[in-house]
Amino acid sequence: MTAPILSARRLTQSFASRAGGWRRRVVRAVDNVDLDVCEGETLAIVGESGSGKSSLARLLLGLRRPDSGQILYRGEDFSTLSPARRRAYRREVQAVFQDPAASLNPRLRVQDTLAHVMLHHRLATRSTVRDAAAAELHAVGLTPPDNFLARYPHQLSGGQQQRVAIARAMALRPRLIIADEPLSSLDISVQTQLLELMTELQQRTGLGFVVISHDLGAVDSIAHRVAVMYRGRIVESGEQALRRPQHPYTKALVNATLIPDPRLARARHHLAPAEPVPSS
Amino acid sequence: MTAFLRRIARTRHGPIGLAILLVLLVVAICARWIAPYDPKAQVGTSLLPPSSAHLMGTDNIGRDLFSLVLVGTRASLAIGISSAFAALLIGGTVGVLAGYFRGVAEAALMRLTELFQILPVIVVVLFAIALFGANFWLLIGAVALAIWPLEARVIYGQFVQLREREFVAAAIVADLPTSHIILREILPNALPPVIVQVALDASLAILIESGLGFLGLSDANTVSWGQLLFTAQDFLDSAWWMSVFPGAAICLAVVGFNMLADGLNEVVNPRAVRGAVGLPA
Repeated sequence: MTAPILSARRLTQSFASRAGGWRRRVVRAVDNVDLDVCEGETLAIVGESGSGKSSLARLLLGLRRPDSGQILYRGEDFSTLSPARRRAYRREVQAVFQDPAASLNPRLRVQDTLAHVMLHHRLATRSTVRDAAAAELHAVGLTPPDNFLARYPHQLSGGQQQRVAIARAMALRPRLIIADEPLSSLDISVQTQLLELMTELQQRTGLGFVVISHDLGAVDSIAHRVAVMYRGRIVESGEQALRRPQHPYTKALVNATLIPDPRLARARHHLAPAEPVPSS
Repeated sequence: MTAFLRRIARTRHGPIGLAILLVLLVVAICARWIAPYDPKAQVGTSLLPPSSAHLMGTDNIGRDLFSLVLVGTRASLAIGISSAFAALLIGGTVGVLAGYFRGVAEAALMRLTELFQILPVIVVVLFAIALFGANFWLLIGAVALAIWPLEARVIYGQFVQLREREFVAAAIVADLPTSHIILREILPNALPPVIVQVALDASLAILIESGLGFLGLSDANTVSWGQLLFTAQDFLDSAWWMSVFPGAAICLAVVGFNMLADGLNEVVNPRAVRGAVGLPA
């Protein structure tokens, strides 16, 4: 693997919750996380809901500031990036979000959503922007693009919306896309198509992905490397994290997924009820 | 625009409100030609009760009240609409800045808003008029000053909610400038409830203007409904028509704006319980 494009060093973020009366409880959503994302690789971050996956994604996208720890963009500390480097980061690292309906501005036509981004980054001029937007839609499989350019997000299906969101991210020619649960609000057949699209984009452009998911099956098919998150920490990571889990939590997580074939399901090793899941 | 009007027309109160306001608007524009008499001229004996010659009677100096009410429409509507929009400008700016930037800006601006909200409206306006004298533009400014916190709170609430949405995060990630995010991404989505508030505020502004007129604080050179009420005070027991007809006009305009606001609300917020009266479904 090449040098990491994005790294986290001892990254921590906590939230104060007032769940029980007046006493403030501090929840560590991200707890001392070390992580490297290399160019062109697909890193999956898995874990149950509430394990801090999305908080980590928001930190990596620079949408929140960490309480402590660093984020490095190509080896440079995030907080000391020069404006020019920061712009480079914004162009190279893009995002796709969970709810495709919420990630597109409901008042903008597809062509305007794409045009705003491309015009701002001078990737097209006023006269070429329509064709450029059409080319981006074509690249994510929305063909013929002319059918989609003038539509509003609510006139598209969930899968089409997510494709537009991917097209918007791809328009900047990123090196890395951080996708926060990109599949979980779509149905199975659409999920498969989008996974195929992501693989295809990766092969064509050498793009890397950070895919955040609770769906181990989907992730397993595209990820080069898997990091398992539990209570804000990465408990296990590696290429074989899901195939040969070492940590008890990973084992439990793997066992919790349903296997469609009952014969295989029966043969699976079960986590004994007596075996405690460690809290760290 | 026509599609939007059609949607209002299909609501329960919207069409009535729209019709009332359209009539008032036409009257305001064409008052000089509709009015049967010159509203400033003495055209009959003073204090004549309503008759076929003078539909609403005459006032204490013999002017035709019907013509006065028609001409007064212009000032009252102008003050209502302009102050609502002026309030939108002030409140909108405050609400947008507080809601988008949060932190210190939010704390300072929203405390300022609350400060204005707890000041009694009439006192604020009285103070302004005592300082600068009564004229038409000052009146608009004063009324706007009294009602802008309402707009600020609505827009602030919208921005606080919308800035957490994923399309805003996507715009930040795409490095779009903050001005673009505020004006192109969030603002269009924040507007629907604001439009409703503007319509409600217009009716509030008309009421405030009438109150000021009643206290004799409106611009003496412009005929308005509130100002007609001011002179009518002294003749309450002898000439009821002098206070009833301008009062009815104020009532009509306020009901019109409120019904329009109700219709707008139904269009922009279709899941809300329809109408204010009755048990929720």
